[in-house]
Formats: sequence, C-alpha cells, structure tokens
Amino acid sequence: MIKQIVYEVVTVVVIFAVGVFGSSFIPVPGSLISMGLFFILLRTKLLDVQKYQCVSTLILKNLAFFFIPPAVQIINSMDELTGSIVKLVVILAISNVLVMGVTGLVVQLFMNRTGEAS
Amino acid sequence: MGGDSGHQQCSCHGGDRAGGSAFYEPDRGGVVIKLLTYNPLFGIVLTFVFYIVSLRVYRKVRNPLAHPVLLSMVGIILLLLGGKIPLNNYKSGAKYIAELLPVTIILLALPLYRQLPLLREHRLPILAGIAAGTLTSAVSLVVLCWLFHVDRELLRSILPKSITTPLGLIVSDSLGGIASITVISIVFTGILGILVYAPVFRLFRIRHAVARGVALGTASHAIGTSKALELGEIDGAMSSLAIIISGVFTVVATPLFLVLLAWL
Repeated sequence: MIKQIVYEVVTVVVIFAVGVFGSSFIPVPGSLISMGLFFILLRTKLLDVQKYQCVSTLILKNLAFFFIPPAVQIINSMDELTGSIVKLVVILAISNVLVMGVTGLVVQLFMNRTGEAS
Repeated sequence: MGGDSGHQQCSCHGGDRAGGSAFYEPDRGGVVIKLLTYNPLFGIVLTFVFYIVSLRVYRKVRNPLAHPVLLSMVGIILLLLGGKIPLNNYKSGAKYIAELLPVTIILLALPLYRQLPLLREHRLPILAGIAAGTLTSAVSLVVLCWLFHVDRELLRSILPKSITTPLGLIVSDSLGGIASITVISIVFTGILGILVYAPVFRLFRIRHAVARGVALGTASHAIGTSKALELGEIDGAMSSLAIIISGVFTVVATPLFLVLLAWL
C-alpha cells in the first residue's frame, strides 16, 4: 500500500519535473509535455498502469476540489462582472447547446458513414 | 482578548506586533480571527472542509445547481466577506492547492491509456466530433459576444469555457484573460451542460452512446462526464476521453484564437 503510494507520487513528480524542464525549450505547456511523456511510458509498459490506483484515482475522482481556489478569486473580478453576469450566462448557455448538438451530430454522421452505427 | 474588543481604533496598539501592518480592520476586535486566518493552513483547511461538506450536500440533493465547486465557492466567499477576512489570507494557503493543477493534467494520461481500445475503434467519428465541437465553441462565442456587445476582455477569459479547468487556465493566460472569470465560465458551462443535455439530445436526435458521451465531454468537461457516467459505461468512457482531446485541441488552437482576436 505505502510502497504503491510512493511509486505513484515519485514517478508523477519526476515526470512533472521533466515537463517543466522541457517547456523551457519548446513552446508547449509543461503539463502537456508531462502528460504525453506519462502516456508514452504507460504505452511502452515502462510504467505499470495497474499501480496507479490509490492517489491517482482519488485525485481524478475529485478534480473539482482543485478548481475551488481559482473560483473564489472571482471576488477580485466582481467589478468587471456586475452588469454582464446575465449576458454571460445567456451566451454560455446558447454556446453550450450548439457545441453539444454539433459534436453529437458530427459523431453520428461519421459513424453512419463508416457503417459503425448500431 | 476580551479587553481588546471594546476599543475603536487599535492601529496604535497593533504596532508592537511583528507584521502588524498585515492586520486589517483593527476595530472589529477580530484579533482571534486574524491570528487564525493569517496562516497558510487556513486556506487549505477551509477549502477541504467546504469541499467535503458540499460534496455531501450535492450527493444528497442531486441538483446540478448544488455542484461542489459552486457551493464551496459561494460558501467561502460569504465567509470571507462576512468575517472581513482579506482574500490574501485565504490565498496564502489556497495557492498550494492551485499549484497542484498541472499534476491533475498529467494524471489524465491514465484514463486516456485505459480507454485506448474504445478510441481506436471509433477513431474518426470521435476526433471529427471533438474538432467540430471545439470550433463551434470558439466561433459561437465570438459571434455571441459581438451580438451582445460584450467587451473583448471577457471574450478572452471565456474562450476556453468548454475545456477542463487546468488546461482552460493555460489558454486563458496566453490569451490575456482573467483567471477567475475563466474558472467561473468553465463551472457555469459544466452546470449548464447537465441542465440542457436532455432537450439537446432530443432536438438533435443524438442517440448513440458514443455520440452522447463525446458531446457531453466536449461541451461540459468533467461536470458533463459525471452525467455521462450516469447514462452508461460507454458514455462515461467517451466523455472522459473527450475532455482530454478537446482540451488538447483547444490548447493547440490557442495561437489561432490569438490571430482571430487580433483581427476582430
């Protein structure tokens, strides 16, 4: 159990450091470099996907937790938002309906074309 | 402490403490509050407590408007405003939680790897759908902001509204947006996704599980995925796949958005 947690934390921290280091050479966010690297390491079986069950699962299931601090900072932007909050919600709602509809339609269209539809 | 609460202005008394200038609102007698909150642990513990409590509430009421992020945000803001606690006291601890955001992106490689067989099987429809959705998001926002006369600064902040927060913050940062507005628009978009998905699926006749999952994940990231998981296993897997791919598409398309914004 403890061995597994150490394995998870140590490998992810090392991968994170490599990503940060790499982002000073190529104009890609460090976290994306790290994600790609992690994926390649899993794909080549250099890292064992079965070992990422404890901390990783806990974090992935509670992603929302990490959004809270940036969300609270909205206090600082109240001035910019008052007066446009209703507009903002209307814009987001319309855009959301369009994105969801178009995405689903395109997926189904391509599935029919390639004969995958059930 | 009791003797302190009576006086009007204590800025003259506060001087003998180290860091006395950090104590705001000295007339409220809130020395205890200040001592408690002027500590990085305050922000960390507060975030944990509010998250755990609001997660319980959310699981009980099952209403998208009670989403943990929304509840915790409102709760913490009310507490800070009510207790006259400066935002910086909260931030001194909460910033460590925010700094873990890149780590959560790295971990997204896990679901991506685990769902590789599903992605392979429906490669073309999934990638085409997500690309179309990402494009629709950007174009619809530009048009709507123009229609509603919303200023450019707000547009920069809400452009990444459909993708997962850690990646959305990267995009917003490179576009020159305001981080907190980006987060709010992402949270709102997620919640709106749960509210509108049923009529949207009926209206656009989206019936296939793969299409439903990809649509929910592309439009409403992790919050939409929580709904997709309720609809079915394939929906959920497809939705979490869509979070990662649409996020990466949007980050990669950021230079394009910059050109678009400059041209507007």
